[in-house]
Amino acid sequence: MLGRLFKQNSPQTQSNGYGPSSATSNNQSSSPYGIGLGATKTSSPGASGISNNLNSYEDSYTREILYGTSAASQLQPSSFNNKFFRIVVSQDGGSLRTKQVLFDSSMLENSQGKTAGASQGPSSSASRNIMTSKLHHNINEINDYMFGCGLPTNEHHCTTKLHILPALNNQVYGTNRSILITRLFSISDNNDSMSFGDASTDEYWHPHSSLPIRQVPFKYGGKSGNQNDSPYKDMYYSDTKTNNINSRFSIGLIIPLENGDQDITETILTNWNEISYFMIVLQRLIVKTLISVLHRNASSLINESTSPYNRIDQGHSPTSGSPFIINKRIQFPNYVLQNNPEIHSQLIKLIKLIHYDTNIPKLINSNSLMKWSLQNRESELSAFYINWVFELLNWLEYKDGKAMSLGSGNIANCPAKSNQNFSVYNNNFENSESHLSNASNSGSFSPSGFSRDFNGSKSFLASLFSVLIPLRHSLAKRPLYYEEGNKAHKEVTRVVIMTGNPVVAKKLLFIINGLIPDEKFYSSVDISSDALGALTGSEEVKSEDTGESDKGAENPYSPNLGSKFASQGNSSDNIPSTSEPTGIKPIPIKRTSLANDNSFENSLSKSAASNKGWEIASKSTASTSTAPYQSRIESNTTAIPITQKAQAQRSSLSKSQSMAYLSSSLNSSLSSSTSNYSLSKLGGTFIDKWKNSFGANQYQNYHTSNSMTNPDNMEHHHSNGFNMMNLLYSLRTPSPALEGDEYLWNSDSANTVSASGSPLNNHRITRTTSMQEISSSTNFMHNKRGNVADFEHPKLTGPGVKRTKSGVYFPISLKSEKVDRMVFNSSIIKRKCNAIMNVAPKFTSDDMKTLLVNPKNFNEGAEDSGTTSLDFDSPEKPSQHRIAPLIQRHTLQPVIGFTDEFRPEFTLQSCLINPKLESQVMNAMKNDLIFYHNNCEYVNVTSRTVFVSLRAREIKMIELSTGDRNHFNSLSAPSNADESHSPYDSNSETTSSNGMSRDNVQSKSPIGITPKRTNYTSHLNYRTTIKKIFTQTRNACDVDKVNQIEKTFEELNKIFQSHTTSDIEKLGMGNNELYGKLRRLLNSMLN
Amino acid sequence: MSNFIVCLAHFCELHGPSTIVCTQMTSSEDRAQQQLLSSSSRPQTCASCSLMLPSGAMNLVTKENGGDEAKCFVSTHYPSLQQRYAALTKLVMKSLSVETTTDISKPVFFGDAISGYCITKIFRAVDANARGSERKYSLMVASDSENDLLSQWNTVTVYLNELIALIQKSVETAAESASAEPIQKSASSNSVFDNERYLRRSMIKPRSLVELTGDKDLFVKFHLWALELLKDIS
Repeated sequence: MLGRLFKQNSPQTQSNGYGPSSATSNNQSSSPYGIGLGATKTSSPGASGISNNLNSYEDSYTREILYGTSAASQLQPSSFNNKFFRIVVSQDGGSLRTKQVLFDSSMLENSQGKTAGASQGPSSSASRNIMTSKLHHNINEINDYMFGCGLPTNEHHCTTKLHILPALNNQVYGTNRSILITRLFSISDNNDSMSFGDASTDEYWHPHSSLPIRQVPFKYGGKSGNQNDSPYKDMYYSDTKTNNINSRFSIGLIIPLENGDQDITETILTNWNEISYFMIVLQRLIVKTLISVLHRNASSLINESTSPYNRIDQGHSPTSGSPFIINKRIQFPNYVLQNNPEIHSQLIKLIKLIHYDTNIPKLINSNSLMKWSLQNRESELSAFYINWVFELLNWLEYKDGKAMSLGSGNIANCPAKSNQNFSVYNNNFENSESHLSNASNSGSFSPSGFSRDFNGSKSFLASLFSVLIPLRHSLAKRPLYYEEGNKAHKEVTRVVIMTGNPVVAKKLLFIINGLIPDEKFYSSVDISSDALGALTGSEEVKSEDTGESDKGAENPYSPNLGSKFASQGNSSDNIPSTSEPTGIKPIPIKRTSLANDNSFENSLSKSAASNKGWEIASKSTASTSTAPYQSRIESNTTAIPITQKAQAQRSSLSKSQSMAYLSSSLNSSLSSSTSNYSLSKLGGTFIDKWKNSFGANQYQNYHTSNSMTNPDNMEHHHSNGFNMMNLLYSLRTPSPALEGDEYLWNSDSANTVSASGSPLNNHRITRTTSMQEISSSTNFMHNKRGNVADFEHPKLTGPGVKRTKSGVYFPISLKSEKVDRMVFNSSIIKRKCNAIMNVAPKFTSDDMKTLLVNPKNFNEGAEDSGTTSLDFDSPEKPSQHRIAPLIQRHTLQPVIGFTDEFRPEFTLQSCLINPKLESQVMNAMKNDLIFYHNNCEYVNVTSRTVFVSLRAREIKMIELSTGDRNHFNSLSAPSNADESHSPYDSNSETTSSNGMSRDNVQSKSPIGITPKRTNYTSHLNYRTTIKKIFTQTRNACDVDKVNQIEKTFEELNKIFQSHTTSDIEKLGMGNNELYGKLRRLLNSMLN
Repeated sequence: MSNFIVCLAHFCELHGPSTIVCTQMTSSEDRAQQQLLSSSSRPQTCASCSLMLPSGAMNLVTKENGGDEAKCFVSTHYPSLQQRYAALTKLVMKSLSVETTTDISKPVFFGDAISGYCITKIFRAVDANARGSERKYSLMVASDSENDLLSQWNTVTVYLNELIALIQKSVETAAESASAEPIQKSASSNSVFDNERYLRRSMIKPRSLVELTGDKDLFVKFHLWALELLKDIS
């Protein structure tokens, strides 16, 4: 007993309740119910608060370009205790006071506890009750919330409810705040009572749910004996006379909240469509299961039942063929669904859904910010499009092998860079000489060489653009989105990038994200621009959490950023003495001479082991020999101990690649938005890496000592017993140059490498990153040592956009990051309400029956100081200041950086290399067809995915479409079953019962060929098209389109070559010609 | 474009759940005219159910021309359009008679694709002349769009909380001032009075919120409050 007690009390066990459950399946087999506690005994990929914070450990530059903020605190993941997730299914059997519970996920936990307690003696049960008491709400209370009290209602349609449950205090798990989402639905045999979810009403009031559901009546002939063979046969669309059977059921999802009200928006409301979809799928599954139970005879049900909770009420005599239909009401016994493993698995899916959708931060819509800043020359957001162009040119240079050097000054500064790296990283070795000559001769871009190499491997990004630009408006819509009106055609588009290195993928994601428009976001930016100045001008806006002023905050998007970088950069001896801010210069990839280098960059490059550019591996398979790489890099990798496990896994790779692989993987995991899960799975935490990085510093100290002795460099760094610059680089996002061929998801290996003192220095800073990293290093270090959660000091790093993980606040106030949105809005509303209620209204009489009421002028008598502010200290003087508009929240598109498993709810994502990834994507696409065809009445549905394999350097277009309405009826019943199999479970295989089995999926086609085959199955007609658009040897893109895009790239490159970066960053202040040209080029791609 | 209705409803001891006042927003003056109640509208028979406006008016109208389009806000006793009337009546009935919550300080969301969706909050006002010495009200924001309503959860709940707090404060203030006036009533007579009221329910009488708060312009203020709410969530 004590053992169990301590086990429950141990912090490890407690923390294991958090995070999406990866190890849940391990427990399932041990469950007496065929499925384990799942979430209650899961390992904890995001368990501790520390590991949850890993989400934030990307470098500030990456955060800024991807998320619009450098403040990691805004992207901190929430921690959910999996024990508090709960699914309840209940039935309204007709009694006002009692409802029948058909399924309760918490009962499994209790029953397991009882079993264990019985074996350990009588007192263990009592202790268990002490430990788990008030872990869950009473089921009767939940039933009251779900069905309501008082008047019984006679309804057939689906009802949705949302209750905030009272907090429960548990001795072990603390306070449990949670929310109850209820779906009430009916099972009826009456065709008239069932309809498509949304009722069509008049133009003034047209209620519509987030996602509709098509409720299908079941057929019940009064005799159940003949239907045992096939529970689905003839279950739907009864042509016979109905018996007016109707019963009400409810599904309750209990989802824990971390922080109450604020989490409701982030966790529940932002993901409402996804939760609604989950509910629809669960409802389908439960209806299917209950109807199958209904058609069994009572004896078979009893024999099959092994649950101690099954209690068939024998007191009721069946009045029809089924013992469960009494007085035209379906009355199942208690816990009739408790043994169903499919429903149990839904709990795990729910946990994963909430975890992934809540904790993976969405990318900021840089397309809108770029467009807006191009329209507004003096915008503080101009860094967005400058960074975007730089990253684009970076990609062309390092990944596509173009000679895209930025300016002669840069080339002069790093003479060996292009020459060697281009020859090494160019995937097409046949052309390496030409690139080498281009780079060495002029150090500049060669238009002729650029446009000449249209043979596939040279035009990866342009080819990808040519595919995505026509689809970007479709990409702007959520995969789960239903709009009233046109039901002729529905398109779902996703982009999935399969990669071994999330860092490189994020660069590409940033570039692609710039193409995806968000009109609502754009209009909000535009509207809020007026309020921006007013709000940011407020000196009196305060927050509850801090009273610090914002005067010291530096804006990362400020045009002055460049000058800041320039000043930093000039401190380095090796940086040219031009006025160009080196923060956006190309970073030397390899130094030929290290003797005189005393700059920070040089010290870094001195220890760089890899001279591989951030380039996609040219080989198409993982096991391809890498001898050419080995011969070049081997000499740099001798001192690196590699764990045996890693070696075994990477036996096919050369030593040099293993080196890059390990180093890359360690640092990539730090920067991955979801790497916390993977790390925690294997026992590694950020703290481990952080501590290990001290060991690595011993190696780096030597190399960086010169730079630290330079007074110019020292002025920005602390000396606190260890070299902070090394620590910075151990924590920083690795350079894209280190794109490994594989991404090591083994923290053991990563830790081993760190602990052994291997240099974590295979970094090559991108041109836009380097100086920003340096400039912010002091702040970074200073805060990192003190508090992990507080490592980003707003004053020094300057968060750009006020946002959360899934939303952004308008106005985008660059100086109001201290304002807590809820506090601010509450205060505004409070002042408004007080002003209304405490002052007599003014009105006139229009006629005898109508009063014309003057709208309240809250700013009447306000001090016209030109600013809009909120005075928290004087609520009794509402007219003293003008009242600001509310801060609005805009939900960001489901576009993310990296996830360790494919999630169908995201339109743009990068995933880990996985041989099943493509099949998972196709399963999700099939579910799109089924859902929109069946529930939303779309005539034609097309689901497509642009599948990019960075490793194989392939772009593939997968498209599934259906539009045959003749088989609509035959679709409905089987598809119900199908949806239940894969509700947002990307790993689940679609079963063959849905008529869309794997056999129907078109196999991979030869390159450049578009196979089309219509699959006439018994239930569904759909067409699968898999087209390889781009490979290393073939390019099936529209040549004219690609050429046009490449021409645009070329012109952009010329601009950035022929002008200094300070010129570019000062576009808002002058140089109309340059600005106009840049604006025209960018608009051609962004609009 | 989504439609919103802000409504104050009451559980009348005579009529059950009933709407007191509802405010709607429209961008068309013609449509605003359609939403006005005529003099032949349903009579208001009960003080606690009736919309008591100054000068015996039945409608409140506010026109705003700011922004791109003109907005018109109309407050009436109940929606004049049939579909909205049916939807709101059902939502009010469910809010006051069906849905339950342990903690009434928390708002509740419910709805369906037939009637619409609402965020509602129940509150009680002290009234010695009511059953149980308190009256039960429901303040709700209804919409025909589930997504649009939920996306404004925070704003709506703050508005609801603020108005409820102010109304309850007004009622308490009015009750305190009223109890201070009848000096001649002794404590014993009060207890007899209460006992008689409790046993016989003889003293139960409908009272409007205007009377409870002592504010004759209360519903005009409600109109202005709803106007601000609608502007902020639309």
